Amino acid sequence: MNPAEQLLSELTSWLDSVLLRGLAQLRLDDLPELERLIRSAKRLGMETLVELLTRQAEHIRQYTFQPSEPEPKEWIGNFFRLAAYAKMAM
Amino acid sequence: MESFTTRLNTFIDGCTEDYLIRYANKGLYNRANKDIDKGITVQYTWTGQEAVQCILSDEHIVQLTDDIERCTCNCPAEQLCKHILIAILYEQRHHLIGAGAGAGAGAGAGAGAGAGAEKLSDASHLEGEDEQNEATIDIANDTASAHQSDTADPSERANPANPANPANPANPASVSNGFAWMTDEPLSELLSGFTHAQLEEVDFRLGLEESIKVIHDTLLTVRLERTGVDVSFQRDKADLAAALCSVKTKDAPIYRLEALLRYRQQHGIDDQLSLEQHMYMFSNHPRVLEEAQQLFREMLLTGLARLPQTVTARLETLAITARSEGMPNLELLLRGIQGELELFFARHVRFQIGILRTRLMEAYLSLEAWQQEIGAAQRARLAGSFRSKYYAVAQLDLYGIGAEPWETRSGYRGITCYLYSAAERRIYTYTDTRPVYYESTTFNYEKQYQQSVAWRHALSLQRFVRGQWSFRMVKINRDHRLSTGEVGALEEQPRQPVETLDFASYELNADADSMVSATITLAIQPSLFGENNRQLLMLAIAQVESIQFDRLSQTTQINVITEAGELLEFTLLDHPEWRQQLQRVERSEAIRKLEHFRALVQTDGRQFYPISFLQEDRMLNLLLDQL
Repeated sequence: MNPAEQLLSELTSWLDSVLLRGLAQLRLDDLPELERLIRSAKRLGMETLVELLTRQAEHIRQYTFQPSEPEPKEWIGNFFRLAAYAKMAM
Repeated sequence: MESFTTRLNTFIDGCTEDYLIRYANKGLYNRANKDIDKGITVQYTWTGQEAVQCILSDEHIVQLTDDIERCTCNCPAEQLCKHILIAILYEQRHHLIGAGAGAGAGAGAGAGAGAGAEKLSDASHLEGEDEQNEATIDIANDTASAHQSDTADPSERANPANPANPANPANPASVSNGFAWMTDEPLSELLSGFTHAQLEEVDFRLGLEESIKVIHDTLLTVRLERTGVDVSFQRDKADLAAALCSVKTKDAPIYRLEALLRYRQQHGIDDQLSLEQHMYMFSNHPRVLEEAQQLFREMLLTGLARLPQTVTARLETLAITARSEGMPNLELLLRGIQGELELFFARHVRFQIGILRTRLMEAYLSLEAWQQEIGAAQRARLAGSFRSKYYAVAQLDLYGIGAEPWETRSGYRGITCYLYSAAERRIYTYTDTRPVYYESTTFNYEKQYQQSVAWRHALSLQRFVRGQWSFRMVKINRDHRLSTGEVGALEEQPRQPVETLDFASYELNADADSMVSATITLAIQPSLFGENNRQLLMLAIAQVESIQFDRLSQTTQINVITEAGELLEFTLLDHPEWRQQLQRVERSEAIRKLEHFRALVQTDGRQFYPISFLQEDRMLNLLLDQL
């Protein structure tokens, strides 16, 4: 598997685990894994993916500090955009 | 409103040969004229009720008024009859009605019945001051009016050189002016009488191949050449309902609008956007969208592991609502999600979380897209409202190019035949399919391959796909699928060699450096919505290099060399149903020895999945035919 395929595989694994656990379960200690993906994406020059993943990390930080965030529409939208990215890259 | 006299005269003048033949038919028109030539006469009497009573010498009685639909006759004919035509034509020849008076009932009865008068123009016959005044006013109006028929000598009027003759192009009130409404009238006015379904059908027809011929006469006729229908528009009558159509069925309004729009198109007017705006009937945000989005949010936030099983019931309800709101795409997505969730809850081995993730993503994002500022047509496409509508086309010539068996995860089996339309440079499909998730239904591919097609009992799918056919009045939908309904007739054509056909965009660019790289960068859009975005290709192959079964990937591979000299690998996926056939393919000397043939393949941008091989007038469907 080449690095790009590797990254995509890790991305879909991450997405699937979130789908199983629930977005609301994400905590600060989920960030390192996400940051690893961001670094790989940066190395491979996948700018769009970097942007999407970075936003995801921001949302997680935000939610952790403000769990009463009323309608995490953007967060959810971002998650599905990552899923869309994964699909299109396949 | 003008006086009845004026209107009646206008009407009678408007009954030109062109008009009468198109409104009724040539035979009726000719018979009416013949009868007059043979000596039939007509006597006219005002009835005082905006009608003129016409007594024919053969004792038929016609009531003439200024609207052809409301003229009546005492003969048994239900529609326009010969006698009404005679009443009109006789008046055109003899001008007996003239600038007559709208006589009062009493006076009219006296004067009319008594005289059986041939000339009714003399107002002084009428009693009663009112009537007389009215008559005078009418005469005054008539002479003052610009209407030519009252003043000009009738024989002169028909002279083509006469500037008053409407058919004379030099006449300022000529053809183009009287018909300016066809291009100038705003489209929304003209569309007002149409239903959404009719507009959708017109939109569909506008996408078909068609050419028009415009015939200028007293009417402006637009001939739809391939369909073989004439639509005649009337001067100064900006109303589609007033146009005459050579086809008198319930499809007439469709043809009228199609003819008008094609005429406007020819004059450089693009009505597409306006048409679309009138076509789609979605209230801006059907509630089902909000509810579905809300449900998806909850599902993602909660996570599958903690989802209550009641969520499947909610999905079911939403799917039903989506269907009733005319959104079949959404319904399908919802049911797909529901199906996958059920596998999840049952801890079924076939559950794949990636599929559920993708379906949720498609559903969620398409709902988001809906809420953007997008055009009506795009909404309709998102909703998928086209898929189920089938429309009849007058003629379609198709060349069979391959057939393949398939099975979906959701439990459908089928065989799809691919047919090429050289005229439209496009592939059509015909699919025979059945759900097999019920235990009682089965779908045996071998057997179904021998089953008959919709339009002819003795014609099997196998025979159908290798033929060349001319269809009449077959139904197709916007995805270029042939309907499996029995509508339509087909006629076999001699099958031309595949090498003589131009497969246009289905052939890869022969100049491309590498067909493989060309494929990957091709118009295979990374697809956001819809699984298996595959494209069909017709490739020119020089020879087969080898065939082998690859144990690692569990696929059968056919390595070929294209006419351009490039090595390509064709992949046939393993499937228990076709394992035996695949073994035969692997062992087949016939395939190994093939040279200079065409291959119909599907590609997803990475691999090529062959469907059939074609050479001259022969075809081999890899998974279905005997080897």
